[in-house]
Amino acid sequence: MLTIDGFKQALRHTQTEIESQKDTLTDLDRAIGDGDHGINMSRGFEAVLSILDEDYDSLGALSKKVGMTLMSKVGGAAGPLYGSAFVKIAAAFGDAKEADFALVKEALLEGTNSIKARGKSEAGQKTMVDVWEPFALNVDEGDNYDSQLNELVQKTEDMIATKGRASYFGENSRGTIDPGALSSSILLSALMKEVG
Amino acid sequence: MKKLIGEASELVSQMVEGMVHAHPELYGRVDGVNVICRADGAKSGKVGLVSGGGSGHEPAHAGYVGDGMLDAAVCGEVFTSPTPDMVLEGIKAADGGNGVLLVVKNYSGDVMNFELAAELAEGDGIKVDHVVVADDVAISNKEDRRGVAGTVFVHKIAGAAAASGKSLEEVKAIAEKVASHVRSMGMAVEPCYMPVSGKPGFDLNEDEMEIGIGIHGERGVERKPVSDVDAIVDDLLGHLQKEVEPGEVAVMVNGMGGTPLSELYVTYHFVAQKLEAAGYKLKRKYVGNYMTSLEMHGFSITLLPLDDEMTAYLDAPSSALGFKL
Repeated sequence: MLTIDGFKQALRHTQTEIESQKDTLTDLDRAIGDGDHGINMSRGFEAVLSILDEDYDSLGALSKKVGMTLMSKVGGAAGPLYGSAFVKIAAAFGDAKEADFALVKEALLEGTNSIKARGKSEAGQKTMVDVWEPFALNVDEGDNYDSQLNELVQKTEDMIATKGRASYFGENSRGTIDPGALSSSILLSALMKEVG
Repeated sequence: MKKLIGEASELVSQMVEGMVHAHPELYGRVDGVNVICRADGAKSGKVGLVSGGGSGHEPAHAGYVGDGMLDAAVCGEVFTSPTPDMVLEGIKAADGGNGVLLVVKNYSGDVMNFELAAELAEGDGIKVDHVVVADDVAISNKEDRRGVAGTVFVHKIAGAAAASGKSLEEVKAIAEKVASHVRSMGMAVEPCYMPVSGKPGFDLNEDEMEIGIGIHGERGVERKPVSDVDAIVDDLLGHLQKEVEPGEVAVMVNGMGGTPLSELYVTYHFVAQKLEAAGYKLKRKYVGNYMTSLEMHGFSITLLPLDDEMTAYLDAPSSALGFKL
C-alpha cells in the first residue's frame, strides 16, 4: 500500500539515488545526447526534496506538486516529460490518501500515456518510454520489481534511437543504454519499494 | 578544463545580470527570471517575437534582442531548454497586445517547453503562435533536423517584418518561409566543455574532427581524420548544395565560439570561391560568431536563398548587438 509518507520516502530515495548516479547519467548522455541529464535530474530532485516537508491531503496533491516542481526545475526534454507524468499520476490518484497495487499500476499507465503524448513517442525508440510502458503494462503484485526494471533498462542498450537527441547518432546510438531509461528505473524502483 | 566563471550553477544568472548592467539602454531583465527583454518594454501594437533555448550559444539569443529583432530572449541553463514558466515570462514581456510569435529550434525539449508555455499564455489571453527551425542538413531525416545557425536569419527577417507592423499571421508566414528554405551544416576540430561537469561534449583524438555537429557540444554524425579547411568546406558545401539551388543567396560562416576570426575569414574565403564557381550569387555575407557552442573550435555554413522580400527584411535596421549591419 502506498501512503503519502511512503510516497515522500520514495521521492527522497529517488533523490539520493539520482545524486549517487549523477555522473553515470551524465556520461551516458554525453555518449548519445548532450551530457546534462544527470545535472538536470539532480537539480530537479533537489527542488522536489524541498517541497516534501510540507503537508499534503492526498497522493494527488503531492504528485501534482512534484510534477509542477520538476517541470519548472529540470528543463530540457526530461522536465516536461517527468513533469507531465507526475501531473497525470496525480489525476489518477485524485483525493486518495493511500493507493493499493492496482491503483498504482493504473496511475503508472496514465503517466506512461502522458509521456508518450508529450514526447510524441512510442516504445522501441530508445527512450524512457521503454521502461515506463512495458513495466506499467506487465508488472504484477509481488514481482521482483528491480530485476524487471533492470532488464528493461539493459534492453535499451541494443536499440537504435529514433527519438530525442540520441536519434542524431543513428546506428551509433546502439551500445549505450538510454539515460532517461536509467533515471526512470531509479524512480520506479524507489516507488515500488514503498508499494510493496 | 579551466573556465572563467564563478559558481557554475550561477553562470546563466550572472551572465544575464552582466548583460543588463552593461547595456541598460537595450536590455531589461524580467524580475527573478533569466529572461532578457527590451529596456523600454513591449511595444504596444507590435507583434512580439520571442526566442531562447539553452544558454552557451552567445550571442544567441539575448544578443538578438533589440529594435528590428527579438523582444525577449529566454535563457535556459547551458544547453538545456528553459522551463515553461520561464518562457511564459518571456511571452508576457514581449506581448504588445497583438500576439506573440515564438521562434523555436527543433529539439524535443525546446519544442515541448515552448508549446507548454504557449498553452499557458493562451490561458492568460495572449495570442501565441510558433515556428520551428530545423535547418541542419547533417541529419538526413527532415523531421529530426536540429535548429542551428539558420535560426538567426529567422530572427532577423521575422523581427523586421514585425517591426514594420505586420500581423501575427504575416510574421509567422515570413518566418516559415525563411525556416523552410534556410540550410546549415557544422563541424568541429575541438569539443566544448560543460561548465558544471567540466567534461568535454565528446572525446576527440588530436588528428580527428567531427562533421555534422549540432550546437550542444554533442558529437557529429561522422568522425574523420582532420583535413585542411579547403577540403572541409568542400565536404560541407557538398551537403548544402544538394538542397540549395544556385541563385541569389545569403551566406553565413558562423564560428562555434572558439574559432579565431582569422580562421573564419579563411573559411569564408574558400566558401565564397567555391560557391561563386558553382553559380551562386552571394548577395549578403555574414562572418562571425552568431550561434556558438561555448568554446567549441569549429564553424558552420548557412545558406539562405533570397527573394526581394527577404532581402529587404535582412537589410532593415537592427539595434541588436549580435546583428549589427
